[in-house]
Amino acid sequence: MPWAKEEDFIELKKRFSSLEIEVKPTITNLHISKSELIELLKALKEEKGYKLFIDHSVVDFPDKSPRFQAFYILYNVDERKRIVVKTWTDGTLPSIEKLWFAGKWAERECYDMFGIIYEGHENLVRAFMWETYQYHPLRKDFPLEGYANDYLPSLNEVLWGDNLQGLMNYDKMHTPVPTLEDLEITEKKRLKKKAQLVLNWGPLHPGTHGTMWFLFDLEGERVVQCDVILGQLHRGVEKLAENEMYNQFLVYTDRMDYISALCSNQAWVVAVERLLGIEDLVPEKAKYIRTMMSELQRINSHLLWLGTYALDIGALTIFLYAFKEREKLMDIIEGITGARLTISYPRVGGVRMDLPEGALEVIKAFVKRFPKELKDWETILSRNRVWLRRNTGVGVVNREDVYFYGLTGAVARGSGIPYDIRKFEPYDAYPWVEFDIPVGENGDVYDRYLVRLEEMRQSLRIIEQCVSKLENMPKSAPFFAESPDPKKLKIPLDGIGLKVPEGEIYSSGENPRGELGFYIYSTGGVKPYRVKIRPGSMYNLCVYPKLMKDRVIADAVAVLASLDPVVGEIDR
Amino acid sequence: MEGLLAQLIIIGAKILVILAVVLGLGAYLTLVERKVAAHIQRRPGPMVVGWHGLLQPLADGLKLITKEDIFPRSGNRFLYNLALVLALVPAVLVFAVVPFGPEFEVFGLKVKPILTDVNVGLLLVFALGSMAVYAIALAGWASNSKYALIGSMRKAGIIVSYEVVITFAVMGPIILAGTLSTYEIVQNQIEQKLWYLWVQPIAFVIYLFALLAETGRVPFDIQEAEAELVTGFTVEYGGIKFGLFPLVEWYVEVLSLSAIGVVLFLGGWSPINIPFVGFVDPLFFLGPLSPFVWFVLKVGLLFLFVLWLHWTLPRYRIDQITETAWKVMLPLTFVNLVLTAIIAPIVWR
Amino acid sequence: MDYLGFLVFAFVMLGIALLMVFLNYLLGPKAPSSLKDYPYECGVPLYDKSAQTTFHQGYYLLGLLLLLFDIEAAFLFPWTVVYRYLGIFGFVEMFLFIFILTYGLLYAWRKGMLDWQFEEEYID
Repeated sequence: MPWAKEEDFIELKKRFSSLEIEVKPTITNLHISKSELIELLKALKEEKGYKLFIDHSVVDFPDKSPRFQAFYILYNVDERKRIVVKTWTDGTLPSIEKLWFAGKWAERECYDMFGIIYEGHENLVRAFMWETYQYHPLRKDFPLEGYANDYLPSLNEVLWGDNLQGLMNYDKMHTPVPTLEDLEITEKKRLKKKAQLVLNWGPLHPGTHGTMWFLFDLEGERVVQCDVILGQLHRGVEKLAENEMYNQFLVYTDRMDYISALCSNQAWVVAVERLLGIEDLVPEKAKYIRTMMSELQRINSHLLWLGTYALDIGALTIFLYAFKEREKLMDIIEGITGARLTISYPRVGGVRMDLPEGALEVIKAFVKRFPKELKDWETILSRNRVWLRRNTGVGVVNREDVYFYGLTGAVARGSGIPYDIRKFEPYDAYPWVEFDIPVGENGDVYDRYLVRLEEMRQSLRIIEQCVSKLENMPKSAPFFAESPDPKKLKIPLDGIGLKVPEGEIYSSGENPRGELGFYIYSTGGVKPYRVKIRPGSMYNLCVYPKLMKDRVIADAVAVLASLDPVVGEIDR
Repeated sequence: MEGLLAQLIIIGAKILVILAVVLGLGAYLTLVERKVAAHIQRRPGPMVVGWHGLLQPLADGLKLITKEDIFPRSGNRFLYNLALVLALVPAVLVFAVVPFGPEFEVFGLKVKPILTDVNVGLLLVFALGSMAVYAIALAGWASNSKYALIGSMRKAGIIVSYEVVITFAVMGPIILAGTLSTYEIVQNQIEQKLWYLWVQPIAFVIYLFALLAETGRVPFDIQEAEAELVTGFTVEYGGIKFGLFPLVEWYVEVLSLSAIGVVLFLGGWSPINIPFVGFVDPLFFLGPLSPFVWFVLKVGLLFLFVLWLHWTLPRYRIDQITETAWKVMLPLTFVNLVLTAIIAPIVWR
Repeated sequence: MDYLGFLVFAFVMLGIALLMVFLNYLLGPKAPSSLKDYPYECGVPLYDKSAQTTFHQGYYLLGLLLLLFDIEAAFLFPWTVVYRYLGIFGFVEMFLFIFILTYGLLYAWRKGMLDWQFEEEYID
C-alpha cells in the first residue's frame, strides 16, 4: 500500500508545532490545527511533491467538540505515495481554492452537505441542492428520510381524486422539491453574466452525457465563461451508506457509474477487503475472474464512449457499430453474472458464483474477433481529415493542469502522466498480468481518443492472459474466501454479519473514467460510519470551464465527450 | 384564345408532373435515405409499415399533419409563418427551369418538357436559391429562442458564403456554352459532343461541395447537429411545419441542385459520352423514353453520392466551414474561370 | 409570355404553402396547458428573457462580403455569355477585373474579416 512513512515528515515537524504523524497499517494521517492548515498543504504540494489532489471532505462527530473532522487526501505521482491531512473544525475552514481548483468543487460539496463555510472561496454556492434549500443533508442530525414539509398530491389523486383506501393511501407530505423560481435563483447565483447572452445547455439535452446543466456566457459563438450546475441525479448515496451493511452497500456502488458497474463493484470490494486485512485470503481464481470481468466492462464502457463521441461529432454510423459490439459483450456478461447493467457480481471475499460452462469459450471467440472491428473503425475515423480538424488542438490539458484539477484516468494519461492505479497500487490479479499503459503527448482531444482506443487493446491482452490462466485452474478451485478462524472473523457469502474493526482507509480502483476512490471510516460494527466516494468524473469535469474558455460552442461537445463524464458518479 | 387555352393545358400538365415528382418523390426520398442509412449501419431500416417499409412516408406524413399547433410564447406569428412559405415556394420553383428531356411532339404540338424556357434560366435558379437565406433567418428570429437564433445565424452564414462559391463555379460551363438558358446548355453539350465535366473537373468538385453546404448536408450540417443545438432553427416548429423544413432543405433542394448540376456538367438527358467523339446509349431499346431515364439516373446517382457522404463523414465546425469557403474554394473558382477562358477557344475549335 | 407557366406555378405553390401553414391548426388537437409554449431552453427557466438581442457582428461582415462578390458576379455573367465573340480583348479586360477583386478578397483575408470566430490571437 503506497502510504507515506513517518521519516518523510520529520523536518516538517520542526516547522509546524501542532503537527502529529499517525501511521496505521491502512492509512497515514497528518493531524494539524486549522490555523496552520494552508501552510502545511502548501509545503506538501510545493516541497514534498504531493501535487495531485485526490479528495477533500468532512466527517461529522456530533458528540465531540469541535464537531467536524476535515480530511484532505494528496498523492505524490513521482514517488507513488499517498497522505491524508486532517484537521478539526467547528464550522469554518480556509479555502484551498488557490492551491487546487478541484478543491473549489469539493468545498462546494462540503458546504452543501455539511454547512461548512469556507473563507476565501470565490463563489460559495451549493453543489448539488438548489440554492434555497434550507438543510445540510449529510449531518448526523438530518434524518435519513428527510423532512416532509411539502404537500404534493400523488398522480392518483390528481387523476381520480382521493379515494384510495388502506395500503394505497400514501402519505402526501414530501421532502422539498425545487420550483421554477428556485431554479432561476440557482442559475443566477452560479454565473454572473458578463457578455451578450447566457445559454442554458441544460439538463434536458441530447448532447450532454446525462443530466448535467451547463451555463454558457456567449459572445456570438464564443464562450466567455462557463459553469456547471450539478445535482440533477443526486440520490444521497453517501447518506444511505451510513445505514447499510457493507454488502448491502455493494448494490449502490454499481448504480453510481452505471456504465462501468463491475469496476466500481470491484473497487468497493477491494477497499473493504483491505480494511479487513483479508486480501491474501481471497482465492486466486476469484481474483482472476474479477480482473477479467472488469476488463470486459472496461471495453464495454469505452465502446459506449466511442459511439456517443462519434455521434456527437457527426459520424453517425460508428455509434451503431459500437453498440453492436456492446450487445455481444453484454450478452457475455449476462450469461456469467445474470445482469446487463447493474451487476453486483463481486463479493467481499471473492465472487458470487463460479463461471458457468462455456463462458471461457465465448470470451475467447469475442477476443479473437474484436481487434478486426476496431481496426475497421480506426480507418474510418483516425486519419480522417474532418475528424483531425475537429479534434486536434482542441481542449488541451497540460501537465500542471492535471495536478491542479485533480484529473485522473484517460484524461491524465492523455497529457503525458502515466497515472494508472492498476500499476501504482495493484489489486486483484493485476500484479500477475502483463499490460502497457498508453500515454499521450499533447493532451488534446485527439490524444485522449487514441489513448482510450489503445486501452481497449490492452484490455484484450489482459483478458487473454486471464482466460488462459482460468482454463488451467482445476474446476473445484474455490471462488470465495474461507476464514481461518470463523469465531474471530466471519466472512459469509451473503455478507450478513460481516464485522469490520475500527479503522479507516482510502482505497481506489481504476475505473474507465478515472479513479474511483472510497474513504471508509469505521467505528466497528456492521455498518460504516462515513463513506466518502471520490468520483473520477467529477474532478475530470472541473477542468471543463477552463477548457471551454474562448472556444466555440461546437467544441463544447467534443471536449465534453473526451472527458467522458457520467452523471451518476458525479452526483452520487 | 385557342392558343392560350392549349398553352394553359400544357402548363397545367407540366405543373402536375413537377409537383408529383417534387413533393411525392421527395417524400419517398426520405424512405430511400432511411433504407440506405440503415444498410450502411448493418440494420434493416423501416420494415413494419407496408412491405419493407414502403408506406412509411405516408405514415410519417399523417402523423405530422395531425399534431397540435403549438406557437412559442414570445414569437412573432407573421414572420414565423412567412418563413415557412419563403422556404417552400422558391425551392420548388427552381424546378420550373429544369429540362427533363428533349423536345417531343404530341398531338401535333411541339412540347418541351421544361416549364419555363427563358434565356436567363440559370439566373432564375440562383435568384430563387438566395431566398432560402430569408427563410432561415426569419425562422430563427421569429421563434425568439436562443437555440433557434444561433442555429439560424450559423446556417445563414454558411449559405451566404457558399452562394458566392456556387455562382462563380458555374461560370465555367456558361463560358463554354455561351448561354444562360438551361435547355440551350444541354443542347450545346450534345452538339459539341462533350460533357462539360471532362473540361471542368475543378468546377464540378466545387459545385458538389457547394451543393452539400447550401442544402445543409454532412459534412456541413452543423446547423442540425443534434448534440449541440437540438435541430437548430426549427426547434420551435411543430407538426407539418417541422416536417417541411427538412423536406425542403434536404430533399427538394438537393434534387433541384443535383438536377442543375446534371444539366451543367453531366449533359442533361444525353447518354454516356466519349469526349469529342459521340454518345453511347446502352438504353436505346427504350426508344423515346431513354433521355428521360438517363436524366433520372444521373440525378439519382448524385443523390446517392450525397447520401453516402452523410452517413460516413463527421461534420465540420462552423468557422472551419466559412473559412474553407472564402479561403480555399473561392480562389479555386477564380483560377478555374481564368483557365476556362483560356481553353474555351480550343474547345470551340 | 414565356413566364406564364412560371407565374401559374408560383400561385399554385403559394396555395400549397399556405395550406401547409394552416394544416396543423385544422387537423390537430387543441389542448393548451400552462407551460406548453415556454421557449425551449432545455427544461429550465430562461436566464435571459428574450433571445432577440444583439448577436455577433461576424455574420454582418460575411453579409457585406457577399454583397460585394454578388455584384461582381452580376457583372461577370453578361461577359460569360458573350465571351465567344469578344476575343482576346474580353479576356484581358476580365482578367484585370477578377484580379482587382481577388486583391480585395486578400485584403479582407489579411484584415481578419474571415477569422471572426476568435477575436484575440488564437494559435491553431
